[in-house]
Amino acid sequence: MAADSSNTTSATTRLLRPSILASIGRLDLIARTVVEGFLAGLHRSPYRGISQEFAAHRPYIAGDEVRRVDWRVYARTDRLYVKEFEEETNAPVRLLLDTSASLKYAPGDASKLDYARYLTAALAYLAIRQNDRVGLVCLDTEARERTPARGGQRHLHSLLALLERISASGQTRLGPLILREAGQWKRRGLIVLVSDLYDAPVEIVEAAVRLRRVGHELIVFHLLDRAERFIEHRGTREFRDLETGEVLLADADRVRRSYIERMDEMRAFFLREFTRAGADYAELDTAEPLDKALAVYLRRRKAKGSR
Amino acid sequence: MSFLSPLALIGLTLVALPVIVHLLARRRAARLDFPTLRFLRETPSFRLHPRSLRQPLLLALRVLALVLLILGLARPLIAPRPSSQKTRLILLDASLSMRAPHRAEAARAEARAIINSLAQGERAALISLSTEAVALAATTVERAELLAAVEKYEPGSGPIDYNKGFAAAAALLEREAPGAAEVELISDFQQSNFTGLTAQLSRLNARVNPHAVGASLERNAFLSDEEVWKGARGVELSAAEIVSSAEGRSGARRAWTIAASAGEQPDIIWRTEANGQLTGSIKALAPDDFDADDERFFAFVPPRSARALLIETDAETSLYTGAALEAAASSFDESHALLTRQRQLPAQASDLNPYALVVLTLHGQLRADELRVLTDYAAAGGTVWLSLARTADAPQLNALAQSEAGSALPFMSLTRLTAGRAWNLGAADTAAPALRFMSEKTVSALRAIVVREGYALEPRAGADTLMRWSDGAAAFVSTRIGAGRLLLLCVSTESAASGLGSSPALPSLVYSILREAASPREPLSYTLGAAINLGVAPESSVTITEQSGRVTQAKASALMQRPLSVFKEAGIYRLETEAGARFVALNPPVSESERSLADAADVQRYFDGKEPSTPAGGKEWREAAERGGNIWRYFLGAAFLLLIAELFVRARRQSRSRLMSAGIRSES
Repeated sequence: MAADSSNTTSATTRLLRPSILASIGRLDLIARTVVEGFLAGLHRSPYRGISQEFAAHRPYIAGDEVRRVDWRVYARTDRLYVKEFEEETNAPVRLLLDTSASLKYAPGDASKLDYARYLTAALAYLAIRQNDRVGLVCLDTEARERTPARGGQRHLHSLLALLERISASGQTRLGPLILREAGQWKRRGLIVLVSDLYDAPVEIVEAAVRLRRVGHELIVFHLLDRAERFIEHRGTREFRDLETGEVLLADADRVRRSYIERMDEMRAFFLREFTRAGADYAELDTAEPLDKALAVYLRRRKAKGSR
Repeated sequence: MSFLSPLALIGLTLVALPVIVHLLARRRAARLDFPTLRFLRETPSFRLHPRSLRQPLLLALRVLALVLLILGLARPLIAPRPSSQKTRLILLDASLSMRAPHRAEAARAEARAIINSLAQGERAALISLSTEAVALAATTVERAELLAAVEKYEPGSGPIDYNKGFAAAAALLEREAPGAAEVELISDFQQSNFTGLTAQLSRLNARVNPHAVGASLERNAFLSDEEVWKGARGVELSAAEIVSSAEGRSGARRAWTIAASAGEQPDIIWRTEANGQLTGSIKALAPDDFDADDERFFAFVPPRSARALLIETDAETSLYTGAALEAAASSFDESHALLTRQRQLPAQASDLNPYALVVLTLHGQLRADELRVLTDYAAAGGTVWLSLARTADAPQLNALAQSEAGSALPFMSLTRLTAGRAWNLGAADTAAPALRFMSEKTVSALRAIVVREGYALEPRAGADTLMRWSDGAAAFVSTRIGAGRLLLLCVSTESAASGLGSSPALPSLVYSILREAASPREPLSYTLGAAINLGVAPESSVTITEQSGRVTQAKASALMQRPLSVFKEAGIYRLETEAGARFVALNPPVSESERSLADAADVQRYFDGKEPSTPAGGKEWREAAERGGNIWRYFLGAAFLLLIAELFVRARRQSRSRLMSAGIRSES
């Protein structure tokens, strides 16, 4: 039995790998596969207990949503009972997706933008599955595709359709754009930023501090590819900046150590500053499965719910 | 270092290949889209210099391996370290042209300057160079000795032979310790003396530094191309007087008549010596700047007139041969070419002296006294031409040839040609004196003659075969008797014997023989430095008496091998050997009389800046170099090791790069 469970978990994890998800093609299927697979293995995984907790059953009364009827209990007892969870915040979840040109970096089968798209879709799916209202804003030079936070399957489908068609371009200034968007939100909620954070770090952190100060919860998913993080390329290359188009000739072997040091400094800075600001900061390797991101989300979601 | 296969060094151009490959590798850097350049730009060593090469250590290893490989294939010779001692050989041109005004003194001054510039411990030798190289000072470090030797330098009257000088210099360097050597060549570089230098120069193994001294003459007059013949008034002598000037060459032929036994005129002086030779000199009269070649000496046996004596022994041969002689004589100047006919051979040889040629067809026997008259006449410079008639007494002639009295005859035996078949003449020696004035057409006509009766000879040792029968047997022979010759033709002009009498080739044959008979037997003069053959044994002693009365002794071989050491100056010399006394005249070469000198470009082309292919040195050095000839194996071995090192460095670099990536990642 234990062996069966282990097999199921590893199979699920494999399924959640971005390279495999890319072969599925349709974003709604990808989102469902990711989330259902994740939740199915949740009780056997290290993330156990971070889900929205079930509280009790109560008898069905007229006006309750039919879909909340627990049909298994009905089968056993022949009475209608409704599942009650510990808390339903109904707080808005705002997904902020960085679509600047640097997300076009694609060392393997899928680009960083693809990964960001899968992640955002999975988060939206998961949030709406948990009856949260979900909004989306794409950020590059401007805030685009602004979608207000709503719930329901129809809204989910429109979000997924939107995510299907977005593309990466231009430079971005995340800090000011996030603050400008936040100024338009009347309710506090959960803000999820999916970005590679290639912008002025201080501005981004300042924006995070201000979001936290006004009561928003903040999760930052920092997307970094392994090849990008360690310059896994060899020899002399003409490096072209995806955002600015600038070109530099450099020997990857010669600059690697120093580059990684600079990169680590930046990662350490974000980890320190976001933690200090009370935000969740998760660095995601775009070659790795999405379950880590979902776990982070659920942990933050639970924390918010218990407050 | 020198190389046994220097052509392989062309391969050094391949060294460019790895450099080009590295440059191309740098230029082929692939483009990579990257999220941000911020961290690259902040990296201190991010920028590759546009012109710098990738992986310089690998490039250096590759280039070095290639260089060693090619050097190894070129078979290097590494000799023992040559001595730092330098040797300088100072060659001083001592040819006649150096007697031109100021040249000798300029040469001395140049030599002194070179000697005074010698470094401390530098060795030098001084060599006077003309046809032969004479060491004025052996190799020494003593400047005083060298400077004293410079004062002994005097130009002679001979030509210069640079090759001899370089050969002497090479021989001298052979004896020297190994080290750098330079040859300082001080010369006026007479224009006409540069032929055949390159090979000798390449063997010298020393740098040659030319020092040109003197300037071209304005004008020089000299005599050349002397000719002599016997005219009606006496001996006629002529020579071309050539004036070489800046405007070019002009010349006129001048002639003198020597009618008395001795005489003196402004431009000629002569006398008759006891042995009958005429000796004297002629002078160029045109004004010029160079006097050393104005006088030209001569010494010769007076030629005979182109007169022929035909002994008429029978009507038919007299008719044909006489007609041919008449025709030949008419080709000469009528004033001195004559034909005389006699029935009998005179009893005294002196009666034949007026004639250059005596022609006789032998019928029956040849008496010993008749032969003696003829040989005495030939010994005095005359030419005897005998033909054998059908009626010649072959057994008697053979007996005479075998006897002491007949030793002057040019054959040992003669036999009649096989009767009943036709014979033809075959090969002819047209370079022989008697036939040298014949054309090829005449030779062909002679070969076409049908001979029915004739004789085949077995020539005596020393006799020259002028023509042969078609089967190879001798048909026409010649032998030297004193200053003259005896010719024997084995067929007569009788119509029953051959078609020779009526052949158009006969007058031409007769003309050639008569002209040779009337020509001087020896040259009028020899060129200083040219070999003189006295016709005696090489070890024979020769007593040489100069015009000044100075007497010296030399071996006959010395006159052949080192004539300039015996005859230093132009003039007339009396040479006495066991065969008798003889006078020879010696004149400077005409090449030394040209007014113009080689221009700087020519001198530059032949001498300047020619570095030796291998350092100069003695035998020991060369032997050591040959022992070191296996050094190429070490070069190839080193190249191989470098290639292995290159592979090792490349592999290590790749693995280190991989490890570094992995290591840094795990650290992070």
